[in-house]
Amino acid sequence: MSVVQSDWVKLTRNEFVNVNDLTVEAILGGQMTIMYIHHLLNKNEYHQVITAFTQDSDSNIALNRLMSVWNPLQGHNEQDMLAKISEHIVNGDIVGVYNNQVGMINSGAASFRSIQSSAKENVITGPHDAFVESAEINASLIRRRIRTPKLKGIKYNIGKDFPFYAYLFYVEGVAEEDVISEACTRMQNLHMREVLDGNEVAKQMDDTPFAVFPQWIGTERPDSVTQYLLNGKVAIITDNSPTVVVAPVNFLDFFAVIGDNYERWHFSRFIRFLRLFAFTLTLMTSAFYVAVTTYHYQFIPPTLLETMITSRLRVPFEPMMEALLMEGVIEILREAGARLPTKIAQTIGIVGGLVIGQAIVQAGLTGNVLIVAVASSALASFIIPNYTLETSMRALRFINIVLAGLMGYFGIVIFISLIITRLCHLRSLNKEYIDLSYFADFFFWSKEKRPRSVVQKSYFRRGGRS
Amino acid sequence: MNPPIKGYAFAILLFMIVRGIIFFQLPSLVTKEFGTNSWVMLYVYTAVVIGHMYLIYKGSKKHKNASIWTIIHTHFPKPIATILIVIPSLLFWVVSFNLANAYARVLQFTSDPSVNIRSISIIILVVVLFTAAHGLYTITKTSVLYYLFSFWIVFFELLQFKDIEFVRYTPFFLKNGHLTFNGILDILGAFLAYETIMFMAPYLEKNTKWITYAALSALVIGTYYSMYCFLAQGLLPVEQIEDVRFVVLRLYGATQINALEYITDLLFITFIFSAILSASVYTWSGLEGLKTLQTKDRHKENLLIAGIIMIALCYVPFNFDESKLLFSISNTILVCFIVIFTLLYFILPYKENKASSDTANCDSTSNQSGAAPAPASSSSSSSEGVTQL
Repeated sequence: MSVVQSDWVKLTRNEFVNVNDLTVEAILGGQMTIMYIHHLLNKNEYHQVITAFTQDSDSNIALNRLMSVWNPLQGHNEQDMLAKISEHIVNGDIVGVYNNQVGMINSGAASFRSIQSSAKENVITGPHDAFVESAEINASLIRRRIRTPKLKGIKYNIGKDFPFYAYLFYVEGVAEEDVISEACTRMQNLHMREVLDGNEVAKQMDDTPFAVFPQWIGTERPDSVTQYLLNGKVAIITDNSPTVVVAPVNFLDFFAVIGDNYERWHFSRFIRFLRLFAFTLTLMTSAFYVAVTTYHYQFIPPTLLETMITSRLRVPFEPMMEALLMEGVIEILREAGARLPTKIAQTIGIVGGLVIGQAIVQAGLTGNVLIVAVASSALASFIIPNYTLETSMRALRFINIVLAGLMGYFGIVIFISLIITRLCHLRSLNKEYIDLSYFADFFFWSKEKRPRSVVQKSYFRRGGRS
Repeated sequence: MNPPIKGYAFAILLFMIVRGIIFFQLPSLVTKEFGTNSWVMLYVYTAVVIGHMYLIYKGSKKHKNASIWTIIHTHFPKPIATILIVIPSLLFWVVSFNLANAYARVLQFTSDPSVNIRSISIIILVVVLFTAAHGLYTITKTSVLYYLFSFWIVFFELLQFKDIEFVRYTPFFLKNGHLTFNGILDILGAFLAYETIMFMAPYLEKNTKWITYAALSALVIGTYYSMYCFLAQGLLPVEQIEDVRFVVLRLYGATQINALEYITDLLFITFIFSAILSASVYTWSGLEGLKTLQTKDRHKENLLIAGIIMIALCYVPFNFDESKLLFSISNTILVCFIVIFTLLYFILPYKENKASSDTANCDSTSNQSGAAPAPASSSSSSSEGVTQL
């Protein structure tokens, strides 16, 4: 390197012009210049790597001690060198310049949230740790569970203008080669202008980006990801995101949670069945109400019909409008509850559920029976363990209500037909989204065999028979 | 690329596409033609169908699982091949329209006289086109799910067996029937759609002896039809059955489960799955025919043509009798083509290169109908997958 020492500092200053949190500090009596962004600096680390080395000793001895632990930086040319210096500084490292030599030391980046349990994926039994907003910590949570070099993690820079990092994880020998190569190809071709969360990456990696149904499962639980990896899936950890996305997925995977494995098999399978039932309920209840009250009175036993007619006597709207109104109110309440602090959200829930619901009925804007239908439908949607799928269901429910309002049961059946055809056609990482052979594994548990998912290489849970 | 279709899925697909609209009036048709205890004749039809399936199987094996479209395209000069492919393809779309139209009419009969047959037919045909556009593999998978949704209904009917009056099963077989050629063909219409095997063969698993699954499926459908016919003839007098329009629907109404009485018509609605599947397979067969004639992939254009033809037919003001006539005529022509195609299997010699190109054809279709991976945003910059964590 031909440039003088002061040039590196000057060049760095020029690069970081108007970056006021860049600190350029001369230490050891001006023999060495260190540069770092103080907002990213971990003060304890700073003490360990700078202060502890320089205090109470001669500056030359301190300098030698410092240089012995610092990593030298080298580049092919000035531009390359400057790029490396910048990269280390923005990553929270300390870059030091001494006598035309540049070195760096990791001082720890800004602090992260500590490992806590996941707020959106609770389990009663089983591990409670959840991912945080650091890819390194998240990777370590997985590595702690799968202690083998066969757990591969490939780092990709998926940023287009600025660096954004993501890691592709898979277990060699378990995940199928075509799945791995497809995931690698897609990651290599992925260049995004902004990556703030793992779900954004998943959307870009979808086989059918405009499909209503999610094709990657996002989870915050390391034990879930571990299980998926051990079942032959690949996982993408995105830096600064607690959401790890997994593929290829089967539609039924969205109705299974890791907690099922920790329960007794009969209960967990019952709950899975209940979730599927809730899924149907979420999509169909309000639409059925609309279809029955608009077109198909003959389907209702007389006693029930009487109740329904009585409840709708004062309602001025058509059943479709009535249902859309109530579903809209429910969605507003749900969204308000999700965005507000917990205690206020609880109040909103009570006010919305009891006061507004009762008031709407008394005002004659809707009938009691519809309140029951909409409430059941909303409640059922909460049982669906995957939030992304749940939101898809909520959107589809409105379409179903409109079809039921226009065409009755016929509209509902048409809706079901379109959904089923689309689901059968969807792929997740080139693998089938609806895999018929997976049905039995979803409902039954085997002591010996792992689920026969499409990507399963080793079928047996127990050793020696693979 | 889509994997080949498995045997069990193929059997279910056949069951679902064969169990069509005629099923609702089948006991009436059979009783009218063959008279007392005529349910037994449905097994004769089943035997005929299985025999024909076997012929198709043998012919298909002779041509190394080639589709009949490919065989025609390979052996005939282009003008003749075009006629032999385009006319049946158009006929298949007419059959699709017939199925949608017939379903809409039954819906009008069961649900509400104010149902607009044209609108309902168009909606069904849009769904049919949507399903057909996804290719045979998706249609097959859809059929398995539809089957799971709708097959359980049959168990309600089993409860009715204790209500039947054995007096009605006279010791006489096949008395008081009024046998006509058209009637025989109409009953055969209830078994049609299995002939689409001639176009499906390249998509089935190569090592599967698909005739076993096809025969099994035909046997189940024969038993299924016979059961409904047997029930109808046990529950109603022979003279009355002939006059009941959709006798199978009335059987649901007579069930012992009170709750079921209310949802009879709802149960009927689930049969739309079969109508959609049958029409989808016919539409897809027609599309396959056109594809054979084309050198470039014109899937969307073909789909548009099929859509225009079928929806245009919806605007022709057919009354009930004219619809029935169209149904009957198209069925008769269809049977003629089935016979011709079956003969072609055996008359035409096997040609190697075209048959193997058919396999490639199959793959390319699978690709087209399967979900291709969406390429991520294209740029040439900085992804370097190097660092191992």
